[in-house]
Amino acid sequence: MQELDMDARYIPSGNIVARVIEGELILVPLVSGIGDIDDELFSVNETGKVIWDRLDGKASLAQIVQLLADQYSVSLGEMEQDVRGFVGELLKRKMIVDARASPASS
Amino acid sequence: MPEPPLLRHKRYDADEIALSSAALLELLMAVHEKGADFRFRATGTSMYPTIRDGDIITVSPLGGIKPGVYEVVAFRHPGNGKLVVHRVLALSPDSFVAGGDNSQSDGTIPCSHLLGVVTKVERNGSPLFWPDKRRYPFLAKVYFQTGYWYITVRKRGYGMVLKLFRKRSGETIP
Repeated sequence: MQELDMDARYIPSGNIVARVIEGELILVPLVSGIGDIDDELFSVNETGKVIWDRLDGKASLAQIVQLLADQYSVSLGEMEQDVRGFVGELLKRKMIVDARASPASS
Repeated sequence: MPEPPLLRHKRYDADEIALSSAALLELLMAVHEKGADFRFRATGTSMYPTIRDGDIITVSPLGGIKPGVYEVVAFRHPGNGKLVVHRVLALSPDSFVAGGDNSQSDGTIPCSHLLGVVTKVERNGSPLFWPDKRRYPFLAKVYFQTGYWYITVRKRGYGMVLKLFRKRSGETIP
């Protein structure tokens, strides 16, 4: 599993279109100025959507884990594993960026 | 949590991601908001033979350039709200008449319903010749006008042959 800094705060990349459509979160990466839903279309399940909604640069991954573990009465270890896996996948696909490195962050 | 978080990719989980026409329309508008082109798989036969069922088409934002007559555009149908890709048959300052190459006219559509212009068509993995009006205005004009008249003549030609065949075989012509 990819090593993640749990104190880092992440925000959606500027090259991603995220829309909740018919109750489902759809992600379309913009590659070379093209939103290609024939080849590059992602959907996120309900649990992933809960995590995605919290990737707003305000909370660190550790805080998100704590928050969701409390909210869903899940152990911290289990929640951290889920968040690490999901966020790692998003980072690998460049769908999110470190808020500290983003010029848009304050 | 009910299940672990999951990011599904359409290419590998195609059966699990089915987009309705409304969803397609919303995504197109969201992608265009970012100034990007929108690439998707066309369904239906209303634009046959220019665009066939399963062709991959790219719709670009208008970028302030009004489409020309006979260009192929994407618009939101005022009747059913669906995303439609058809040809501009006539143009006025604030509306246009659209129709499929293989279907009847959609009637008059307000220009505010225009979403973009088709700039690329791919069939079986290869791009078709499709001049972009923004880069090659004259070539695009000639290509789309010629294409439209070719299709019209072909359709009328088929109709005449069919009538002749029915007449010879003694069928009544409605």
